[in-house]
Amino acid sequence: MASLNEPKLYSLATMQAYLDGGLDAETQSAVEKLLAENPDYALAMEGLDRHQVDSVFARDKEQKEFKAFLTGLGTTKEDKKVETQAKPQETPFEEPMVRDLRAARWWQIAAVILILILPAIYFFQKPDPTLDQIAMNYLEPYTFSTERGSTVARELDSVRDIYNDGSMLYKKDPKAFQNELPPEFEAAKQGYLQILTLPIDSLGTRQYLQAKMGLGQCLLFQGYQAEAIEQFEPIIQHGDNEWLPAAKWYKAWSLLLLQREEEAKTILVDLSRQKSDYRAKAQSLLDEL
Amino acid sequence: MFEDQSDQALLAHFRETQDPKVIALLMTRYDGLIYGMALKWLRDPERVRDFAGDLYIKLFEHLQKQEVDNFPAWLGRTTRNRLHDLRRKDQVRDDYKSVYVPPEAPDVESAWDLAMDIKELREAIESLSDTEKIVIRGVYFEGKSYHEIGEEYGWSFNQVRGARERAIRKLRNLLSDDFKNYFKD
Repeated sequence: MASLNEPKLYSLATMQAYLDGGLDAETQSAVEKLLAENPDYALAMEGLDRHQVDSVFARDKEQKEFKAFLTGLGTTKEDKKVETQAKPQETPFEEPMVRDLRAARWWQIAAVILILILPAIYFFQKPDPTLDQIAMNYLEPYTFSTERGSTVARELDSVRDIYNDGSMLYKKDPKAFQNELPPEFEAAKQGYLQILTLPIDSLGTRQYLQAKMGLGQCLLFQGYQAEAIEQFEPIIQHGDNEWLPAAKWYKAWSLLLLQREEEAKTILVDLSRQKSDYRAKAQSLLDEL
Repeated sequence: MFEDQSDQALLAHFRETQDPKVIALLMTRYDGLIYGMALKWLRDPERVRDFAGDLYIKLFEHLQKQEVDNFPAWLGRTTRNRLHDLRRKDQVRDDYKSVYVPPEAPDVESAWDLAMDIKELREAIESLSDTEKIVIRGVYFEGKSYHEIGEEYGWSFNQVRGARERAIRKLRNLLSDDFKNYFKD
């Protein structure tokens, strides 16, 4: 196990990853030992856990600003002077007329080069879209088919209908729901949580997996990506079921939003190689990433 | 140039040179500890940055003359003490305000609303499980930390954290908007 004085355990990246459920087993167990033994460390973890922000992006922005602030603390006036000196200096003195002519000639050459390479620049240097923009194009809630189930599944059907209402509303105008989701998501989440208190035997595997899928959707769109992954996992582990490709797709998105891009890409590559509704989307998303 | 060096090597180098980059690097190494502790007390990232600026000056002064064996433990203690100082100052300011700004007299209607609200809150808390009740009372009404509650009842950090999250979810569903804001973090 890592030493409890290991600086890595005290870094913002590690502590946030612990709260998001993204640590390897060894580091996680070291963090848990520290939490039990060091009240200041536990206090810091509690501070991170209880700090409310609108989204993961806002949280990451705040943390990046803090890190940048700390890095800036060590910069002295001399460092800034060195930075300034490192910049290319103007030629100290030339006859103004000669300098103007030279500058004019350089500008002409530069202009010609620019005209020639402008189309190429335009083609190759399209601005990189942010994850938010990509999500706006690709990420929308799953919609369940509305076939009626057995008596056992009646409760599940009504929760699914509530969820579908919310997802339809969201899909019609995602921008309108950027700050607050339709209330149906919360209502459906509570419904799914209630259903999932039943043992799998009495619920049936199909119903269990459907409830997991629905709950995962609610959690993902409410911003609880790590918890959403926990719901998609049993669907993926089960393997042979109608929600398998969708569960992989939404797990990949949860990972992307948690900034675990490499893990997300592995799932997307897998999706892009198998026949499903998500094949083309996964390929296209990989290209964008 | 310093990134690979141990805390002890950095501290020795600082005592010799008083190079401010060393302090910034040490604070960056332990950024989670500082940020999380300050956020717990101050709640506001902007105030946390101001606090980190003050802490930097304190560390700069102390570490010139003080030898430290276990840096993370020492940093935790120093951060906590500075936060206590800040809290005391806030307390003095609040006391001053309460003395010099006369409180508005509550009218009969708002007194009635308050009584109703407290009844609503009490009922909602009663509907929680025993563990959730203990955690909510500890965190929100007794000002205890997760760690203190855990120590008292033999629960892990994650058990306390999970119980608080479950309880908050339930309370948000049960309570009106005024109280939802109270339990927002």
